[in-house]
Amino acid sequence: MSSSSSSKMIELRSSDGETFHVEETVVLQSETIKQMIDDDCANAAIPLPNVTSMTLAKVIEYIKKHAEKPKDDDDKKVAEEDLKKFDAEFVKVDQESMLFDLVRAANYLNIKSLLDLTCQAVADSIKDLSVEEVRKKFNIQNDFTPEEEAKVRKENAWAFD
Amino acid sequence: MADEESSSVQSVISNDDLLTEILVRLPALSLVLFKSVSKHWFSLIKQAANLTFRRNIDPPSGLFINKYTSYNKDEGSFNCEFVPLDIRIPLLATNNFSFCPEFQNECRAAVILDSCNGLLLCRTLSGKLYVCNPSISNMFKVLPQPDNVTWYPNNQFRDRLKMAFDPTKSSHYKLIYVESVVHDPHASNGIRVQIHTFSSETGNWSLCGHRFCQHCFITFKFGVYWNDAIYWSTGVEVFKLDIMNEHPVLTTLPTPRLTIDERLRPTNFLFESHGCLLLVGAHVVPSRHYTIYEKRNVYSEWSVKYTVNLDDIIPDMFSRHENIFCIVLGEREEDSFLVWQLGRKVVQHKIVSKTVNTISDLGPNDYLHGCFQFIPSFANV
Repeated sequence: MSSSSSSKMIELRSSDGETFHVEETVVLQSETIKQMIDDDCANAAIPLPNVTSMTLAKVIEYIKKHAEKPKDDDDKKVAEEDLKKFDAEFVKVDQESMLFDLVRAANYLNIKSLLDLTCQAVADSIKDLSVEEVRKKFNIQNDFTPEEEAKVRKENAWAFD
Repeated sequence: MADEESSSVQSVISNDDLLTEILVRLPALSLVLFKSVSKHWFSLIKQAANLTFRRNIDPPSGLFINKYTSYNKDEGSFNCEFVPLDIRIPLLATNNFSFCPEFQNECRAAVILDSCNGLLLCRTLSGKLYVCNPSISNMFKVLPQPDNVTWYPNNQFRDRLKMAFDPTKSSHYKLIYVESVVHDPHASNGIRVQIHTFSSETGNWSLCGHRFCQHCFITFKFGVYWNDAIYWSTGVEVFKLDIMNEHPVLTTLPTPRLTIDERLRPTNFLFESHGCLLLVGAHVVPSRHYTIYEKRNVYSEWSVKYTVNLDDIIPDMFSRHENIFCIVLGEREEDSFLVWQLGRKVVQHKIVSKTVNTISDLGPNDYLHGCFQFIPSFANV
């Protein structure tokens, strides 16, 4: 995979045993991996027991794109727009579980921008739901008594009662 | 939900740190509603809402229709109707609620002077000023009056007040009051204005030393706050009062290139929505045609956003009284709408679908004072 770049390659191993080779400069976006490299624990393949190969492939796609450096200021503006488009497309996943897997992976690997992006995507997917729909979606039991629930609703001034 | 899918979802939802990361990114309205999902969500949201890093401006979730009903020439009362724009808002509305319990006896309903990114600036009939956040019960603050200003309750200029609040930039708000002052033989009409600004950071009013021509400010109360300045129109020009510095700076803003039969109106023609400044050009011929221009940021040019022909929408309605009171640009084009006063009706007009529904009726003695956006927010006052 490594082309003309002379950057050192880091080997990552997913929970299901697949290995990925990524340039060190790219992989440093993960604070967790950066720490491992700093601690000199990255001589062999870095095991990522919490991340499946499918999720890891997506994460690598993301950090590779975000590692691209614009050449000049004009390029920078174009690159910013391009990155925005990439991010918007990136969170449009076929299976909802992938989005949640990415949240978990971003958290575990400590990639702040990916955590922001994926948490915002989850928030966007639930923001228009009713309380009932949220409970159903996440399998949450309503443990309020009717009186307690009415009291919670009353805290909002726009209930206007 | 498949097992694998549900375990991915559950592992995130059951992690309080991750769930909080998701919750704080919700619009304020959803966050407030989701407090009743469960006791656990309630306590997480309570903690999350205290985090002041929420700095986004949410889309409006309702409208306040502020009316004045006159009993006779001198007497009347204000009332305020709430029109929800989100079906999840429980409608327990009475037509006459008060944002500020302190003044409940004196004045049941608020006179809304301005709505700005989640906060409302109101006054009582006797002229007391207060700022409130209608998203939160009892979130209001009574404000002092400008120093050395004789505050006549019935002075027609008392409402020359605007609020500037941008939570993406600061948690503090400013008020701008334009006071007509002193006879000045050098001014064409003898009267000049001076500007008082109130900062919620200091809690004090301060007076700007410079005086301005009064004729520039006659329609100031119809102005809008947008990008660090107040904008308003006199029907001839669009003025811009930059309020970020200690001393406000008055300039004019170039208007769009209007067609020969198009006019600017001094009132109800400048709006702010979704981060854009909007300007309405009213056509003289053919009448009932309007063009809505949009300015996306301070550097961009005006561009035509919509053209509206009222005859297409309400062909059978003849009314000499047609006025735009509010423009809301939705996140999706099909959500964008105008609020019109058409005769004795207040209607919401979805621009793309060209559908109209009546949101309020005006009685024979009612006067529509204003239509203000309800933007859910956790901002303190």
